[in-house]
Amino acid sequence: MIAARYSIPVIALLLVALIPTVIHNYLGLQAKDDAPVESIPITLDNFVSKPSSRLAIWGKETFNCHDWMERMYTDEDGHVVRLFVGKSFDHKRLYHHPELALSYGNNMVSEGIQWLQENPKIPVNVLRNNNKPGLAAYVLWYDGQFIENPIQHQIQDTLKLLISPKKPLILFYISDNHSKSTLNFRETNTAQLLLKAIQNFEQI
Amino acid sequence: MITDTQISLKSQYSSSDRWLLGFVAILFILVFAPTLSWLWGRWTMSVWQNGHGILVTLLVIYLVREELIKRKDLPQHTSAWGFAILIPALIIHMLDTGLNSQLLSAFGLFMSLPGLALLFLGIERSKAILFPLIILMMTLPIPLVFTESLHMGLRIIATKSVAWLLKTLGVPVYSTGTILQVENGTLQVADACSGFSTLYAAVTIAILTAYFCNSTKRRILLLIIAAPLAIAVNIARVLILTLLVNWIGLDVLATAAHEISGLMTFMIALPVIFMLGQNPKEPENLANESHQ
Repeated sequence: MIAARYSIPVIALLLVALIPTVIHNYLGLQAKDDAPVESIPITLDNFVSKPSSRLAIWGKETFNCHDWMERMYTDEDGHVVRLFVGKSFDHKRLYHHPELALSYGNNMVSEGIQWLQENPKIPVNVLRNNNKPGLAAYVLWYDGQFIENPIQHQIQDTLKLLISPKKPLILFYISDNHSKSTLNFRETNTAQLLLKAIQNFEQI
Repeated sequence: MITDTQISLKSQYSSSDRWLLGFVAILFILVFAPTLSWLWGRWTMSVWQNGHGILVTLLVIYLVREELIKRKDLPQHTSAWGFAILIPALIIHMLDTGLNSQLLSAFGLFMSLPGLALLFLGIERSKAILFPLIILMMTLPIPLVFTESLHMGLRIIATKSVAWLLKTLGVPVYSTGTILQVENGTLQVADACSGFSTLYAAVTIAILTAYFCNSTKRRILLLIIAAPLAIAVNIARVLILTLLVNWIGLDVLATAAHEISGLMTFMIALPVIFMLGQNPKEPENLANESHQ
């Protein structure tokens, strides 16, 4: 009833398909990662931090992060800025509306991409609170590069991932409750802290 | 007349064929096992999600088996056109192993089945089982981004209908948006209560049943009635839950009654669809029944 004529070419095709399946699904190979996010200094410029009160399991459950930290940085004037940095091999979990988890309860409007620093340019997704002061901003970093469009980036990366282990995407997320909507994002102390955190992490 | 040598060669050929086909089956399972595991997880997540996936898959397996038994006398045919389907399906799966969406891989899995059918069963038998195989696509979870507005529409329909029914029954109610306020509590018709899962299941089963129904009138009826039936059954469910809240209090939503009511929507809508889709009895059978 079943003809075996094409068995051998089908076996060959299935064996080829099995290679990335084994790499990613069975072995779950992941690139070595030796830059823990905890290495970001507790004190950045004039900001001193303390850890936030989230449970240790929160980052894993929310973003599937294998390495994450969240700190409350306070400047000399008492302004508090929250910084989250997390790494995950599950890229979509990190880039798909991180504000829903990290700025829960705030009604935010996206201002699109703004650029920090000239060389290399850092694309920052900026969001503002809709009806009160405060903003959130995040930067995505992958394999030494800043990612402007994560979906496009993931599609472009798929061919490499056919035979190579997964690399983590890193999310730098910063938010405050004091920046006025009239103030340009790059002029806020929040933007300065984000830049410092990224620069420090790059040097690790 | 078959000589001994021919018999020997034939049995040798069959034996190697069996090994090859067995190896194909094992490799196919190895390639798609993680995807199947993910699909199983989605199908069994809750009654509010894609519960119909298991039912539809079992139905498809049954229908494919029946069709192949009907055509078992057809000679062994193959068609190389199967590669034109199988290769893209496997590429989609391979790319998704890195992307980690799982949904694309599941799409690749179902897409590869008609390709394998052409390669191992030939064009005639593939044609016979093509429709059930395509229907398997309707067991895939639909990403929320595509269904969000539909969920909202269904929630508003359910809220407004239940509010109207309660007023007709003389039960005081205030409703706004997707909120229903009765004497003993306030309910929100959430995404899970939108009835989308019943709608998805009813439409899928209706299409499948219509395909195997001989009567054109019944086919049209099935396709027209599936969506309104699913919506009506869900409205009835929300109405009953609201009445229970009105009589007993909000605690009733924390009991098994909430989830069982979700299952009831399937248990009412799907048998009605099957019943409507039954092939009409032939005059001969009707005559025999009347004699008995």
